[in-house]
Amino acid sequence: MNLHAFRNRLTKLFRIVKKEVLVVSFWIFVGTLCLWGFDEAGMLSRNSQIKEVVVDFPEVYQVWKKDEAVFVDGRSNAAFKRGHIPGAMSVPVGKVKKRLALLPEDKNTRLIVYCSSAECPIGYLLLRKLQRHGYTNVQIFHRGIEGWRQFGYPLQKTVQPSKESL
Amino acid sequence: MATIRIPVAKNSATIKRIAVTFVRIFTGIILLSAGMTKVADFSVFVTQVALYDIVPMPLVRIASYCILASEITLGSALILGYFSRGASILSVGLFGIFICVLTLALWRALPLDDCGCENILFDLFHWDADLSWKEVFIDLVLLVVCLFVASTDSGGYGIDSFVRKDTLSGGNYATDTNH
Repeated sequence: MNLHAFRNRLTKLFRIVKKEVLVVSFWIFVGTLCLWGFDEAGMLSRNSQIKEVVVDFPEVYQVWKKDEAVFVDGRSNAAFKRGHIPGAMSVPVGKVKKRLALLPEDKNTRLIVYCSSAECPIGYLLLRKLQRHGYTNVQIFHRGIEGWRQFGYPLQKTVQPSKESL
Repeated sequence: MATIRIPVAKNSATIKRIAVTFVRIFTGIILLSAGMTKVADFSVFVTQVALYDIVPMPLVRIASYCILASEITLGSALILGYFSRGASILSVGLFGIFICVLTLALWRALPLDDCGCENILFDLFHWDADLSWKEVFIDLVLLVVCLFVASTDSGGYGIDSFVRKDTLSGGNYATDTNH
């Protein structure tokens, strides 16, 4: 095959490939718009739609006061130290396996997970991870720490050791 | 002695087309299963994208839509064998992005115990979806497979074989022997 024929073949190949890539890209764009529409219509999962596992005031405060559940904070260590529901355990959503030992051994223990606010998706991810590790009674306090603070309930801050004590 | 003539050339071209069809459909099933898993639990997937800390928070949801739409569209195109070359090339790009993101996450030692990349392979072989170099290797293999499919003119047997006429040789995909 001479150079001219090779160049023609390459040009034709490029033209065919460009057309196919553009057509498929167009369908991906259409698919993206469809997913956005479904999400806006509430057809894709969101925290607030998982009604059977969401717990809200006043029940969550009563449960906390009577110590009927273990509260699990899914936020980062730094956020946990700045203020958390008193008695809650810090289990950042990316460290569930490492922090499993902190959780109760009884898999039927009632666990209530929370993160920062109502639309924080971390709470739902943490719930699913805990369920995968065998915990059968997990709920989300979907208002999160912001909701707890807005209702005027107490927060606990982790005490940082002073430099003299180190 | 009678000579038996085995049409080797024709057989090898057919065998190659069957092999290409098989790997193309298998890759398509992997992509489509990954997409459908994410659709079923979209909120979890959005969180996993956010945890990689690459896309700014306001764009996390849009990035999630794009990834999901890409997986479902490319998976369907590869399974059906329609515009399979374009789908293969875009799949190469998609797997390339996954490899870069996973490599970056591993290099930064992000505290993630779930890569967010579950698909039918993980169910078949009972693999953990941990963030590890195994996921990078799997994506690299799939990238090479997509390159192989993209390098063939017809992409094996599929809708392209019967409908499309724009091959390099100028003939029909079904009769084109330039594989």
